[in-house]
Amino acid sequence: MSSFTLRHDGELPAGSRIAALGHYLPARVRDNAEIADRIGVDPDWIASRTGITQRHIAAPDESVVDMAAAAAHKALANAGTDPGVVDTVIVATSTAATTIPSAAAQVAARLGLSRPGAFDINTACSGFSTSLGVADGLIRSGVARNVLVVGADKSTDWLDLDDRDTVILFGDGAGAALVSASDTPMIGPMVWGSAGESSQVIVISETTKVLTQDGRAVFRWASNLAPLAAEVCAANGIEPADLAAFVPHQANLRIIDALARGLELSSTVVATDVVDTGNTIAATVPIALSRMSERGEIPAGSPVLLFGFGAGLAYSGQVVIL
Amino acid sequence: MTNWQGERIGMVGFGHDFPGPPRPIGEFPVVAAREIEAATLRRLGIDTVHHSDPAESAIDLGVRAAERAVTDAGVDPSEVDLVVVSNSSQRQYAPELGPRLAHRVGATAALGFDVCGGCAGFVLGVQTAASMLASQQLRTAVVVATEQFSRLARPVTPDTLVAGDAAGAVVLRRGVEAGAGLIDSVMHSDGEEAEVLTVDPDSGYMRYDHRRLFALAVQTQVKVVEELLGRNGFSLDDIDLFVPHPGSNKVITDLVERLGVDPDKVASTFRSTGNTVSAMIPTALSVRKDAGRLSPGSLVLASTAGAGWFGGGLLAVL
Repeated sequence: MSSFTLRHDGELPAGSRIAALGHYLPARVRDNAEIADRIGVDPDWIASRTGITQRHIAAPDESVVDMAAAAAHKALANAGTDPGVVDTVIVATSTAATTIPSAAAQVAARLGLSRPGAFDINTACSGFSTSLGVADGLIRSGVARNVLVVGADKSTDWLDLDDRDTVILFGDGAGAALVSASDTPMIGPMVWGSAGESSQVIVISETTKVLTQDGRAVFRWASNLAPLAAEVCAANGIEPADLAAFVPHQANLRIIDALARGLELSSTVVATDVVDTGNTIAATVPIALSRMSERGEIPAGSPVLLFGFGAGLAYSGQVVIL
Repeated sequence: MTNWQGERIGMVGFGHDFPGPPRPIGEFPVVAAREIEAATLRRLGIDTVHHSDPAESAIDLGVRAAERAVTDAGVDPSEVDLVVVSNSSQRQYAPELGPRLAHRVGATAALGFDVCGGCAGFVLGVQTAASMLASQQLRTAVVVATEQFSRLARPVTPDTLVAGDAAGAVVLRRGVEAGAGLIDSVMHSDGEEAEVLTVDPDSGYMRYDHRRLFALAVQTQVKVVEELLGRNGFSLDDIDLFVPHPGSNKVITDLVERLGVDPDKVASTFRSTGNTVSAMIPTALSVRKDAGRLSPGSLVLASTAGAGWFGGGLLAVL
């Protein structure tokens, strides 16, 4: 036993909540006809295989930081609070132009925040859920009170436009959530895991700087994740049947449907944002959540399952109440 | 009660347009992407739908249908007094579709304007045109229902299998021989049910409460049919042709069953076009006419219901 006692000032909050959401999608849209022309397939073949009809593509000079800052701005505007309250910025990204400096520090500077904690998290497609879990932990432990959590990716910088396994799937965008201390926990415990032995199925090559994936292996793995998603519900004390909404990572409509079937969801609203935004890696979950919330598809006070999965391989999820 | 018998307003010409080739719904991306089973597809009661070319507008479809109707009626376009366009899927306020559509069919003397009314738009158009023909002592009106419903269906959803594009037109002429023409028409609205089917202003895609929509569609049309028959002293046995609004296959089968109509008397293009909103009634009539199956003197009853909420119906002797 140490004879020293470390001081902890103040009361610890019971938990945290998503106080506001925002998202940003670049103006330019790449539809199936444009891709089909280039890779020599029928546009309907792309939609049949993936459910995706279009993706948003960032401008050449538009960066992960630009998109993340735009989404963060919207979340703060929707929160209606002074941005000065933000004490921590987390950006989940795997495609930023640099690893140093972090995207988070640059986003914080763009927002004019004074000395916030800022760092990036790279768990690819599960990045938003993982960052939300980290934010919740930071708030519960008293380190932070208002955390800006952003998922932002510009995968199109890392695509081979002739690779039909990837070009049909990926798009760019960013989504953000302001996470604040709460008397009632509205963000449940994160359940997470990884399978590093399968790390080679989705990679950005060190040499070619191109994103490649073994589509069949990823599809097989992802389509069978329903038991893990059910575990997330169990850890949060929620029956899947009681979910008002299910917002899984948006990689492919067929994977989403397989997960929803596996969870035996019937009246739950299932996010299918992938149809018009494609796979935006760490941004899919917050973009889908933000757009569904704008459309009034997520009733207040009802459980919503967030579930991210992808490169790593890694997954994470939690139940939130908006 | 609206009774048109004294006005002798006849339906004297029919035309329709189904853009592009019939597209088998089994080939639509949503079927593979969402693994829709063959049995589920069959239950929709639809084999094909038509989709207009991305460059085509509702006016293009409407012009083709109106031109055919005017030719069928043997009317010179310059004689047309009114062009009433019914459209809910591309509604635009400035400019409306009506003036341009009238201009393009050569109805240069006509007043062209739009009505909305969801799936009840055609009936609303006919009732509006008939009122103006009667009150202003005009002679000729063309009522054109033109819809690009496929554009309101969110991609890769089952909605894409049901929502079709089409235009149908009918020429109305006041002063036809006694015994023919419109007998009665009816329109009702119920704003309490406004949320049953809405179009999201941001995405432009429709949203609806599936169960409520189905129940209301059947219930509203039963009421309209009973009202029109009752107040004009007819029974269903007197009707030669029944043209319902089939929002879905189940709406037709339930309606036919609840009313006890002889299925052979039912006219609809639903199987080959899906739901074409307000174009459903005039296209069904025009397709029958082309097939030589619209006999003069026959008693026609049409019923419809749709977003608004609206209910409406027509009773006419051809």
